[in-house]
Amino acid sequence: MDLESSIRNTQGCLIEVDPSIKEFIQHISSSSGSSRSIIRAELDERHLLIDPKQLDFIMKEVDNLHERNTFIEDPEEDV
Amino acid sequence: MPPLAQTIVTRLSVMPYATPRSEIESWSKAEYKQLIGEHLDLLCRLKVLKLSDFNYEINPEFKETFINAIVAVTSGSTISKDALFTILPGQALSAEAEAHATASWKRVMELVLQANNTVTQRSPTLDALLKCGLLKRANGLLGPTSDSRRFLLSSTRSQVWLFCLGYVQSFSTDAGSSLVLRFMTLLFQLAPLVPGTPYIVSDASDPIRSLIAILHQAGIVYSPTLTGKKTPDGADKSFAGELIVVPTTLSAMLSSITATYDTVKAGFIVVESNFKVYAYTDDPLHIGIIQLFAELAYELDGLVVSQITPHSIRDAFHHGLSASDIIRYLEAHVHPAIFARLLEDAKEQGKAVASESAEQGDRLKWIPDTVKDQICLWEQERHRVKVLSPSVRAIRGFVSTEEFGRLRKWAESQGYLVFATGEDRVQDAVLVVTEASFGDVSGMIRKVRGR
Repeated sequence: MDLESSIRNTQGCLIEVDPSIKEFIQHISSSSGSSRSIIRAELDERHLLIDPKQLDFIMKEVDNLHERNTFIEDPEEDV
Repeated sequence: MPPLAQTIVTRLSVMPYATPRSEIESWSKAEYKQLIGEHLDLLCRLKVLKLSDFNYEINPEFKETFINAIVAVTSGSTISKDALFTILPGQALSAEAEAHATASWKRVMELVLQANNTVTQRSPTLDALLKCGLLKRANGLLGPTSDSRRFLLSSTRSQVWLFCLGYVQSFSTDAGSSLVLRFMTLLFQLAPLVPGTPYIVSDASDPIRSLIAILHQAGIVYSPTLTGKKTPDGADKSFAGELIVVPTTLSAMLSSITATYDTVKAGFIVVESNFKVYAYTDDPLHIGIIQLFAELAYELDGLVVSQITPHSIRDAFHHGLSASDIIRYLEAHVHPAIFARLLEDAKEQGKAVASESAEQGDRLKWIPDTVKDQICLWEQERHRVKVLSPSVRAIRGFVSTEEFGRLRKWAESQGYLVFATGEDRVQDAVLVVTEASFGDVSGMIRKVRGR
């Protein structure tokens, strides 16, 4: 038996996130479908191995998430 | 440099590894922890120290020059102990020097603020800023560097040092290392000189003349020689061919922590807890600086009202500013009426208010905590996704926890290990190593399993 056959290796970009952002990245990865495979490996609850080419996309989506969840006062009401 | 900062720099220059902040704080008593934090922050802003993953280490270029300077002094070789500056008998030029310093420094600030990928006419001040790394030219357009906005929000003392170090560092190549030593010698000897008094520079070589010209353009010194005036009034005409410089209040900022200089003599900003910023100024420079992190709402005569918004703060972060830069700028320019109110409140509550030192410390509390905390929270949002390493290999499928433990220790000793997890369950064990080391790690796995 080839003992090395049990070893698996995955290449990618290692990121550290909090659990809620990890859930968000899993959501955008699954909703993107096969057109955009983002997560290559889930290492633990705070670390992911992702496709390096998708890093900018993830950062942009996280920024959009923060924008959507920020209350901006209506400037017309501000006297 | 304050004595505590000197101690930190001297100790870190001989440390073989990056030092955690907790270790640096353990060098003194617990009550000085905050002071040490402030000095570490100052040294990072001056680029003497680098911060990486909460560990501090000396900037390699500074370390090399610092060690060389110490060795040169002890071996009596290249550092010159001779005075570079000799007093020129004659009339002092305080008024002329300060007028030149004020106008020149304002021009420097305006050029850095207004550079926004535009075409600008060349000028000696612009050339000085390009050399110092505070501006850059690309495709014929003048634009800011990553340090430009931080420069604008820094204190005048930090700005003068950033300007001088930027120029000196542009010579930090193998060929220019001796020039770096000469320039630093000149700056250290210039710092304690009396502002307004003319001095003759004994070393009038071309590199030194170039440095003096750069400092003259910024207003850090005033050189009658460079303005075409051969000698100051009242001076002996036999000094006509000499390189003469007059230190200004800006050059005094190179040394003394008590020297003060401000283009605005008093604070002018009031920040409310609803994130509105009221700036009692009509100086376009100050209005422009506030717009780096706040959105302009109204501009009245002598009063500018701006709003700190998530968008304006995120835009500021995107252009290289940090939360501490913005908060420090606001705290440094608090309107004196705010402090007068603090005194009134303290007296009403029967608290004793001490002298100037307490005044300065209490002044720092008059930016609302809600504003400070929210700016810091917006900064932390940027770090919710942290890239540990852009190119790694994650290895799984170990046969036992012993095998995993052994490989992990080996990878760590070789500096290959980026991350490891799952030590307790071999099914979950993952070893993450750098891409470049994957060949060596594969070899080690084969070696371990071959035994």
